[in-house]
Amino acid sequence: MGITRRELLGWMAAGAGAGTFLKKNAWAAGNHHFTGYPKSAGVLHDVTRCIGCRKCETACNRVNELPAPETSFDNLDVLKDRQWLSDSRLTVVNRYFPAGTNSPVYVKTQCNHCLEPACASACFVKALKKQPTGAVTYDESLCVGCRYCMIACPFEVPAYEYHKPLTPRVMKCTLCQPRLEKGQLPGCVEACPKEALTYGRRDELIRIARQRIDKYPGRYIRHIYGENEMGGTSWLYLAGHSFGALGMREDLGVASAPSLTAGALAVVPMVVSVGVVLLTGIHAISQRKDKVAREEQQEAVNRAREEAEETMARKLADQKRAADKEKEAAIKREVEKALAESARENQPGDPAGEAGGREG
Amino acid sequence: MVPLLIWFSSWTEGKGMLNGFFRGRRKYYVVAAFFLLVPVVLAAAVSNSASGESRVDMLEIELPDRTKMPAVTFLHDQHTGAMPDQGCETCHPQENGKYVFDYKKAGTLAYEAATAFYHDDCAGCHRKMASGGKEAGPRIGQCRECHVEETGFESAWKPIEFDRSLHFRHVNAEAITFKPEQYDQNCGACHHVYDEKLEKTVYRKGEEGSCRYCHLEQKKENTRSYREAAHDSCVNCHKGLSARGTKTGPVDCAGCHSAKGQAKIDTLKDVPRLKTKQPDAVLMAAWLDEAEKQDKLPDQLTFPVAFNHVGHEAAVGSCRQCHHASMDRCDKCHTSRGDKEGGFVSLETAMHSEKSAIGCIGCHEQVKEKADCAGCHDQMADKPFADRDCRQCHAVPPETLKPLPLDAETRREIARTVVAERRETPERVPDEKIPEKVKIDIMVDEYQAAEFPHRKIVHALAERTKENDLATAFHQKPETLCMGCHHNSPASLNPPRCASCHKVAGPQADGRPGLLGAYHGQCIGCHTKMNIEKPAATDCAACHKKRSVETR
Amino acid sequence: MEQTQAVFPVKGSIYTPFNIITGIILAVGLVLTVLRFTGGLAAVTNLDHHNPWGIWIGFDLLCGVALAAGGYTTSAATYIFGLKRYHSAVRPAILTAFLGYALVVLALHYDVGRPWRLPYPIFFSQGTSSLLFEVALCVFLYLSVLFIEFSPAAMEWLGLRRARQLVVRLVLALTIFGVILSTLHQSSLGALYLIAPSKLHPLWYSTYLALFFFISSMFAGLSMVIFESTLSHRFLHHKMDAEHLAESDGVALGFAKAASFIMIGYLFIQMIGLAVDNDWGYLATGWGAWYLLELIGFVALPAFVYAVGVREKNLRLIRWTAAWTVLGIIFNRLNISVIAFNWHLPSSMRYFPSLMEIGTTLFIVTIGVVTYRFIATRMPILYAHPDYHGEE
Repeated sequence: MGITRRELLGWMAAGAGAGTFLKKNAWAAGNHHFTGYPKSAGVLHDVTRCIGCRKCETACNRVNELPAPETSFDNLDVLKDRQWLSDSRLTVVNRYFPAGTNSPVYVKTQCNHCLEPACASACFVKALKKQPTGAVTYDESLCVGCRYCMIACPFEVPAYEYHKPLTPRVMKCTLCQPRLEKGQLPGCVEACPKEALTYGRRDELIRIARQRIDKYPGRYIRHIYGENEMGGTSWLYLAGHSFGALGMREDLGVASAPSLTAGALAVVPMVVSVGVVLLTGIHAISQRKDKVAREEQQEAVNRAREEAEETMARKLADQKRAADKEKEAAIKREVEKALAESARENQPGDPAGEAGGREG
Repeated sequence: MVPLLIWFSSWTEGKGMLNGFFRGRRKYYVVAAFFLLVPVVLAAAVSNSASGESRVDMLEIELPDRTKMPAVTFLHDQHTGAMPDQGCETCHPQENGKYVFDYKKAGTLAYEAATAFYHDDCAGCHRKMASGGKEAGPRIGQCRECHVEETGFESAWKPIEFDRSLHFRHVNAEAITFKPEQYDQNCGACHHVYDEKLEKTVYRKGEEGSCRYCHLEQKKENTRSYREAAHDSCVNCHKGLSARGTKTGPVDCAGCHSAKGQAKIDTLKDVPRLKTKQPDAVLMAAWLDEAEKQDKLPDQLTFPVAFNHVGHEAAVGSCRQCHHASMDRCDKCHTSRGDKEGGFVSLETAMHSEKSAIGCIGCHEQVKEKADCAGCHDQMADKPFADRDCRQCHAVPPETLKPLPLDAETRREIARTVVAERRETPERVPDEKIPEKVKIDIMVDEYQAAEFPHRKIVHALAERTKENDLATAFHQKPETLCMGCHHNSPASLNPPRCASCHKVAGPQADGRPGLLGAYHGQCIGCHTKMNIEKPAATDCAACHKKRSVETR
Repeated sequence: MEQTQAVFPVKGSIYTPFNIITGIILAVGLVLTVLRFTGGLAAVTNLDHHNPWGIWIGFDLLCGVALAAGGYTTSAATYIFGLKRYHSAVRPAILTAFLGYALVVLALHYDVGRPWRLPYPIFFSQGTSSLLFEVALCVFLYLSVLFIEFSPAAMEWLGLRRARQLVVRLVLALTIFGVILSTLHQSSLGALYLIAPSKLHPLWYSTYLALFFFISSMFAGLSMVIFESTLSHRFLHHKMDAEHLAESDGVALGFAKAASFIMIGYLFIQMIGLAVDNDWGYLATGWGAWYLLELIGFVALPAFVYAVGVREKNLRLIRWTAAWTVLGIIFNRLNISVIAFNWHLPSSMRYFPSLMEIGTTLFIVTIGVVTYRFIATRMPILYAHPDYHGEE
């Protein structure tokens, strides 16, 4: 199969062009910004109102039918240690003492139900989905247990039931999706006596948060955590101290997690299209190179043989000529010799002269 | 790196040098060792800093034009503490019987000379101490022991405020005298002004002001910085008195500038009024001077404020709280337009700024942050300036401003009269008008009804605010105190119940909390801000007992 | 000769040192398997909610896939670039790759919570937004490709001539498909970590992670072919035919040269990665020293030594450097998956593999070694089958 370099480049361009038609939208390169499903809900957590009573944890445990905790939720001494989310604790309250205050600050942590969740983007069986209600739900009937969602989540939220051999699940806050569908509030929101948690439409919550900051500017840091972090989350936070001092990462940036991988995914069809043509082309070129090399070699062999033959023929001709010449010279010599001999015999006293002469 | 080595290898080989540097297997070990050293060297470059011990005596020896080494942090108290038997003259020269608090006048030296001087002197003393068998500081050659970027110490230095109590103690001190034959008070011992003609500082009676009116944070021309001036005056005087055996103030850094040292300083509760020529009350309005000149009231005018000057004198730490740049009237520098002499701050901004503690409103906002006030005031939303009631302060009606002329004495009289009409002690709502207990049973579920001790709480609020003159001045009506909880409705002895506006169903779109959040938010919020430890916010049963499962 | 006797005793006794050791490892592995599936991951691993991926992903998956890259590099060199002198290296490389990927899938059965659902993302519910889907699909397809590419050797052993002829015709297409699949999944394994910039140390995290993994897989594969041919020469010498023995030095030299070039290129693209993110400041930290150790000690230096080895035709040096490079790849993959991952967490929360995890990994690798030995001693991998000699 012979193919020239020019043809190869042409095919590659065609392949690349075809590749561009394969994907639907140029999401990787565009300036699209998902601002959430319309009317999607969220929760506003006003950290200045939280008193660390852990009633939210109690309610969450009850509503989700989780196993009883090691220490009762009424025990507030546990707060002296950092509390972590786990497979049996979908939300935790933590106590912090930011610099410059004597009084503690309490913060409730749970899944933030991001607008563009890293976990849902990472899940390769679509077990985690962002619902129009705002919740990020988990389907345990699909989950394979690869735990890539745990790698992906920037807030380190999903927990895993490592102790279960055959039916382990990823465990995280579900925003009480079943309760939402019945028109009820999430368990924690309902239980909080200080109304530190407010459930509502996300855009409304942002408006309420800004209003609160304007009304009590001395009380709050002028920032709603979750408004833009990781592309925006459904769980929003207001606090009176910098969020970094409250165990919340401030270095996550505003790019959503899926936008970080969109580029790598978009390149896949390109690699396939260009790769097929490129590799086939290289193979074809290398084949052609071998073929041409073979042909050239053959040609060289033929030429060499021809030359050799020619030389042989010439040599032969020369030799023949030389041989002929020699033969002629020999004949001449013999004739001369014979003539000389006959002349000698034709002299007197040559009874055999007639015989010799006649014999010449 | 690698291409370089490759080039180097071929070059040496080409030159036949070192048997071609990379001939033989040894070359690989050398190269490998070199490359592996790089990370090790870099790892060693990782710096670590010492833990943070707090000190108050850190003095940075900052020389101008310093470029090479980090500045040295000199620990003053450490040195004085290490040589208790040696006096200040060890390091500080004396002039006119007073110490010059500059290390042997090194501050007058140029950079090169100063560096050499410090090096020789400091290290020399250390060497002497060490040879005497004592623990000493770094020697010459141990450069980075002194010249450190990060000392690892944390500064716990606190400024000391020369408040009215300290001032009075100095005024009253028998040991401090100033030309007793001429003056009956010792003001001149510290207070002075600069006489341009005589080109020196002199005492002028009646012109006493804060040191900081001239001695600013930074040195200016021939006026020393506040720090230099204060140390020179204060420490020298204390040193002199202490040498004579008189009980006097501190001479080391920690004595004034550490929290512990400041706690040891006696503070008088009731400081007698410092009598200079200040008014008891002031009638404040921007147009009054103009009116006096023209002998008529202008067409447009703001109601003047009758300012209780004597009352405010008792409430502030020192005169400088308001008279921050001079003892003059505010409008001497802060013009209506906001000119340069007022720092481009107009009179209106100066008086009304909510952020600055020097202005009226700003200072009052700060007072409201105290525990006794914050229980109610913290929960009140910020009001835009336009929504404030100006009449609270601008209350002097124009009728009282006749007859003209309004000269200074008349104005003071008017102001004094208006101030005198104000209540000095708050009026309280009679007990029979206050419900004693209120049963809150509207949302009984997990807990029983709460027995709210209504009257006890009102009494507690009244007790905690009765001594506060600001509170008394603004809580003119007795039912004003009720508005701490019965908010967002007019002051009344029969205010609406919480449930009238806060719904059981939950929060409303205008930001109003639901009833559950309202009760807990108001109660717990107030307790937290007023530093009331019992009942604890998380002690649910303290306010409402738990309901047993059967009775639910 | 003693080494081969250690593996293949002349007298035919089954109790060789090699068999005993591997036997013990396999037995322990079976016990661990039982523990894993009765007690869950918690019973066997040190994984927790902050460290969901341990060495079963970091080593078995990431290193396994990177080091199995010899399959596509060798077949690309031979069939696409037409470098016929590497022909004898193709079958061992394909076998290594096939076993490597098969063992990756085996390891996944241990690591994943519900291994019987592993086909779900491909056949049931495709999470196409996920790079792991990309990895799963390509690994699945590539394993099939490798199986088909390996099958002629088995078919020759089993005498299935016609089937073999059919498969042999597909070689070029399979190779191209294999190279593309390898490009995709090698890079996707790197791209997996793109989603977690807040967890991977900036010196290792880059938008070019996919490219770094792909390029490093190339010299990983080339080095692995050299390394594993070293091992084969030592233990399976008697199975090698003349063509194999004649070509093997050429394979080592050629692959070493290629690897050296690629590694220098890799160095440059790493520097571009640093420049683009302005990470130079991190080089002066402890992590920086670790990164430089990986980059200079395990990429730059071996690249240089490869070049020296090729120039001087020093095969011993090349073979040692191949092992060194393989170690470097393992170092790199472990850095990204468990060492520099979660670098911001306090040391009490960091992950270190449990003995049982290490035991399971050893078990899986041993299965691979034992299977390789089984196949290489019976099937025409290191030699050409006499019946088919001369045919492709």
